[in-house]
Amino acid sequence: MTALPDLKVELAGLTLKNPVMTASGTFGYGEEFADYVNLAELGAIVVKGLSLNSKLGNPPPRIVETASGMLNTIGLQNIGVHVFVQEKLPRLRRFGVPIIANVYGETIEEYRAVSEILTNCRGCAALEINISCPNVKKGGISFGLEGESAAEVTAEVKKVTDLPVIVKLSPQARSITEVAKSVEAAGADAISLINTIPGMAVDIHTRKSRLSQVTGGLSGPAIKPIALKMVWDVIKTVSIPVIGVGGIMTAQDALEYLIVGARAIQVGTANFIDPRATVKIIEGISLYLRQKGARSVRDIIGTFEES
Amino acid sequence: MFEAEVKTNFEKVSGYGVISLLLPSIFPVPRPGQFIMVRLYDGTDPLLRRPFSICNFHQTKENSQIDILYRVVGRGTEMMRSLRRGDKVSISRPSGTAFNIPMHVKRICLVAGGVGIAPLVYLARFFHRHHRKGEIFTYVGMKTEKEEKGLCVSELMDISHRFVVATEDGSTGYVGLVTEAFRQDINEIINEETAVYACGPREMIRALASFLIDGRVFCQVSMEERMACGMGACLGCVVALKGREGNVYYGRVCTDGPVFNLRHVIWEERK
Ligand SMILES: Cc1cc2nc3c(=O)[nH]c(=O)nc-3n(C[C@H](O)[C@H](O)[C@H](O)COP(=O)(O)OP(=O)(O)OC[C@H]3O[C@@H](n4cnc5c(N)ncnc54)[C@H](O)[C@@H]3O)c2cc1C
Ligand SMILES: Cc1cc2nc3c(=O)[nH]c(=O)nc-3n(C[C@H](O)[C@H](O)[C@H](O)COP(=O)(O)O)c2cc1C
Ligand code: FES
Repeated sequence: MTALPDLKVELAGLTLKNPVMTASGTFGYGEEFADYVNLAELGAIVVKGLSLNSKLGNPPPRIVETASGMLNTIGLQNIGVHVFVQEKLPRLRRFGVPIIANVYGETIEEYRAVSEILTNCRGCAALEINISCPNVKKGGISFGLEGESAAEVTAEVKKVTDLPVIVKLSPQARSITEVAKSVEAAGADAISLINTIPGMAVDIHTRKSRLSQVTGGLSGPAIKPIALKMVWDVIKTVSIPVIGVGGIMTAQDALEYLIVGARAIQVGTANFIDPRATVKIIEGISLYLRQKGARSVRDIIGTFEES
Repeated sequence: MFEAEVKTNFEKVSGYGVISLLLPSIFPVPRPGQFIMVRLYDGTDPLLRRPFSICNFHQTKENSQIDILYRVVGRGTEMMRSLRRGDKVSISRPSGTAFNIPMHVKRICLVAGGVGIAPLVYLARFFHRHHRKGEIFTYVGMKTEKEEKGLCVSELMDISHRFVVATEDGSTGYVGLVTEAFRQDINEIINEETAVYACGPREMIRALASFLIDGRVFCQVSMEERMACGMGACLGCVVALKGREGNVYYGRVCTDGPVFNLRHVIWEERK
């Protein structure tokens, strides 16, 4: 029997058991999956985006399936940071898995306020700053389009927290590498990407959108090649760790991101189809490493050969 | 998640099928109104699981069996139609809220629109088994007579005290919408010991709400919305509901529903 490969990765001062996390908004507040997954086996859980006060979200229909993907316009419905800290977090902490809170604000002040509350409650391992949600009228994406505003949010959040700050980038950014450089300069400890890609679907009988909001965010396997390329581009531009997100269904998909240099990955839409997708991906990575005779996942990360 | 094996799959009339799935005996006994998420394809297109109501459930020593009544409307249900004996599909455990029959209820009225009949069949059988003296009044709406066979109405007919079919084209039974057929009878059939259960298109339930609004009649409805996860995680499947303080909130059909009290559902469209 050879020893199992070491899956540990270091990320912005955190040591993760393995590089597999859940993507925000696709794993609820974690508990929903506790019957299917031993949550302690995951690298980390990223919870649904949190705003200062609870948010109603957009009217239905909020989702529609498209070729190998889905569009959503949830509109960041969430219970608000206070209820999260009081009710959800204590229960979630008992599972013994690092919890990363996804932070959303309509204004810079809101990003600060939410980050401060999450820092003071001492239950979160890191903050993921969502400047990339395409489905809200204010905030979110509007900070993620240009380097300057992205840097400003990052710097302001850094002032109120001592937790590692991960900034989640949008594929809609005018130049995603510019935004990446700016948030790195502003003190981001890591970068995650991508959030969903805007898209639409039309009902040919009513000639209306198949969603309540005309457009939505595309996720799932359909976006993987685009996301992978963006992740690779960002990895080449910054020196902080990068977390790859987008269309990861299998260990093979996850390994592609790791090979181009992602320090960790997040699994999103795949959780809906198979609630055990994350643990299957962890097992698959481990199997791959054994087959390649690698002792650690770190021997694979960033080994992409351009020619 | 459970692996189910197809036992039979009949297309009764074009576009309507009944599929029976065999499951390990550890499969939890579903309550009437609950649904399962079915994965019809292992690849990525179609990608998501599809929700289906439990139309029937039997248990033997060796295994359990679920019956699903389905209408072919798109690619997923098209794939369901092509399943054959011995094929395997992955299904979730029974999910969501169930119909609740208050202790004092002696008569249930079922209002079904099309395949919305599915969860009501299971409810009726359950009621029939547990309330031997109870009465069942059934109203089933469809576009045209041909669908009658596809909707397995005969099962319900046998245990119903009154059984009304309404067709929109007037080919059989009551001519018009099922809610109109039901409305004609309500003064006669509804008393303090009656409960109403409905499942069907949103417009049908909205019509029901328009004349059952006073909240005096106990009425529960099973709602439909497009789903991604079916387990409360994505917030994709919501309907607008009245909160305790009169506020509006979006509840999840998959975990807060699919069965809701009619008086909690809000019908005004929001933007
Ligand atoms: C709780 C619940 C219980 C259900 N029970 C049954 C049942 O017992 N029998 C049955 O035949 N159908 C049932 N449905 C509807 C069924 O899930 C859809 O018809 C099915 O998902 C369509 O899949 P498709 O790939 O064939 O169609 P698609 O190609 O996905 O879509 C075809 C059409 O169906 C609509 N549709 C897609 N998904 C849903 C959905 N989840 N709910 C409503 N409309 C949808 C689309 O908007 C589109 O107009 C239920 C739905 C819910 C939410
Ligand atoms: C239903 C749904 C809700 C989401 N909610 C959030 C959110 O609250 N915050 C956020 O940063 N990203 C959110 N996302 C984006 C995902 O975290 C992820 O970036 C995206 O879906 C791409 O990954 P995937 O293809 O693996 O799903 C959401 C995605 C989906 C599908
Ligand atoms: S389908 Fe995901 S929350 Fe209901």
